[in-house]
Amino acid sequence: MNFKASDVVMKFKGLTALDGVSLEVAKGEIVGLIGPNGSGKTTLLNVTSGVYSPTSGSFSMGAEIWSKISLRDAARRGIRRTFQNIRLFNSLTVLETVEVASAWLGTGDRRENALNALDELHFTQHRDRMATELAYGMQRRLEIARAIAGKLEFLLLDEPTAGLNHGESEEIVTIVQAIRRRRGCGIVIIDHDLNVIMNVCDRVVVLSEGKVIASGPPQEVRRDPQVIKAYLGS
Amino acid sequence: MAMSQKWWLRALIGSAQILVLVSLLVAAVSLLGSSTDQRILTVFLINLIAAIGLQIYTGTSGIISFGHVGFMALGAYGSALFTADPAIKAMGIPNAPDFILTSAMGFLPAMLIGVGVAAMVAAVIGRVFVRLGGSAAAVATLGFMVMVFTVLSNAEEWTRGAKAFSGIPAYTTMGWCMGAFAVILVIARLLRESDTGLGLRSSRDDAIAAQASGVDVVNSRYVMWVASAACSAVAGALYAHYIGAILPKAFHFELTFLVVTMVIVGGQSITGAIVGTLLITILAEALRRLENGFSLGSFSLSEAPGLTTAVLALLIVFTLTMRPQGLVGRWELDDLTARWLAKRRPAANGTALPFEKDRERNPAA
Repeated sequence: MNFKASDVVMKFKGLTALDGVSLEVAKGEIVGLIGPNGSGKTTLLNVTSGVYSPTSGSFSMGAEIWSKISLRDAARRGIRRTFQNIRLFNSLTVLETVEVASAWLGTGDRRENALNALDELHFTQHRDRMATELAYGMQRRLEIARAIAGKLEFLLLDEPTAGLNHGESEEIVTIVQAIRRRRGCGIVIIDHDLNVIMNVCDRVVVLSEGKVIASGPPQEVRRDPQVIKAYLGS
Repeated sequence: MAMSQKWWLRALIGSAQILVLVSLLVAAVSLLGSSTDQRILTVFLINLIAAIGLQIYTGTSGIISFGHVGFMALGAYGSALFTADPAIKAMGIPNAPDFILTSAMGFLPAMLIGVGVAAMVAAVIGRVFVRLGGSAAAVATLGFMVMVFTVLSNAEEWTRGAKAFSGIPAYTTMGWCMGAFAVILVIARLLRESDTGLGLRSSRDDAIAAQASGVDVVNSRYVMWVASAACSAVAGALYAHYIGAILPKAFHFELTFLVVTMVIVGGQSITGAIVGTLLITILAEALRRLENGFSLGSFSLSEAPGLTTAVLALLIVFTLTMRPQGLVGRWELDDLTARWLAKRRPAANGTALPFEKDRERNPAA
């Protein structure tokens, strides 16, 4: 089962943030989404996950096709995400934070499922701490734990290594690879750290000014003259 | 936070802890207290049910409602109309429909009618109200309370209008109050710990992240709204059958202010509502006595009308400024007990929390 976004246009009043973007992700594939600031990466994740309704375009996952979707319905279809600016629940503990997703999107015992998700992120010992008391890097990992609890078909990671040091970024790479291995889900990852993108992705899609300017294996994209001009700068 | 795994078991254990403490308080006052103390205790229990009723919605959704006293009024009048002596009703509301004039129900069925009416009204208006947040919700719920007041004040054929509706049987005993409190406490905790309650509490912190985790925010709010209205109506019925005579003004700004203060000062949890109610009931009682005049050394004041309201207002300002999450914050008594025990107990192997032993860890991460 593939996830497919076709010819997606997103206009904010006078600004065209996405201009006919198409993106396909297979189950088990990790796709990197890169591009300069303002190129439309996060907007694409937002319309895919239901934060915004696109101006036009369609999405499909297996036999299901839709043009607009709510955040909740996207999550119920297994399209899960993290956020560029960390969005945790101030008044919930680490375990409760993950339990929210396992309660609403999982089957079986919500606590057991949440503990499994925390296990995958090596996080269990922090389960009773308040989510927002965690160090920044841990908060990033907690967001991922919440996003993999319950139904998961495709995982959208919006700058999961932003603000992290080298060691923490490496850890995120390991975690992303482990999630793909265990869950077999498709993953879209936005990141400004090209080492992360090059190390973890099977394929890279490059956006510039709301359009896809290149797509292919990381090493190929790296040599693409258009990409060098628009993004890499060298 | 509690050690047990199942949410419903945690809710029941938490309810039992609170119930034991409140029962001890009731037993102590019943055995040792004066009749005035027992009166204050009854008022405390009725207020407690009203505060928990409000907290079911406000504590989970984070949206304050100034309208729940309207549901109390519906519960009070609903129960009073069906239990009052038909002879008294024939004099007071001779033009009321026959099914009201002739009715002389027992307390429980009449209370259930009041609760049913409140729940139905909540169900109808709730579809719109639960979509509102912040100041819009505050204004809309306040408007609802005023509407109920206005309708009751003008429905003279049914309620005697602004005049007191009296002859209500004095059914409210300490036993009824404790029974109703126990039932509502368990309902409130079960709702709070349920998937719906947990999801709604997460939406209070971040609605977008909650929806991205699958939470149906609007319908969860709706469930809590209707349940909280029904519980508030129980408090109204108990109040009517305790005082024996009610009038619409009893369910107006003053009571609204009192119940809202209890919830804001106490915190976001059911335990918070209880702590807030205890504090405010004692404070209000003390201030009420001071309002009749007091002396402090050479300084004496003959009367201080409005002192209670003024101090409660200051308390709200102080709480919102210094401790916006309320005295207890998000915690329940069982959470606090578990955290306290976890701090006291030396961790196994120097690292694990006591909760770690309740489950086999998957070593391969």
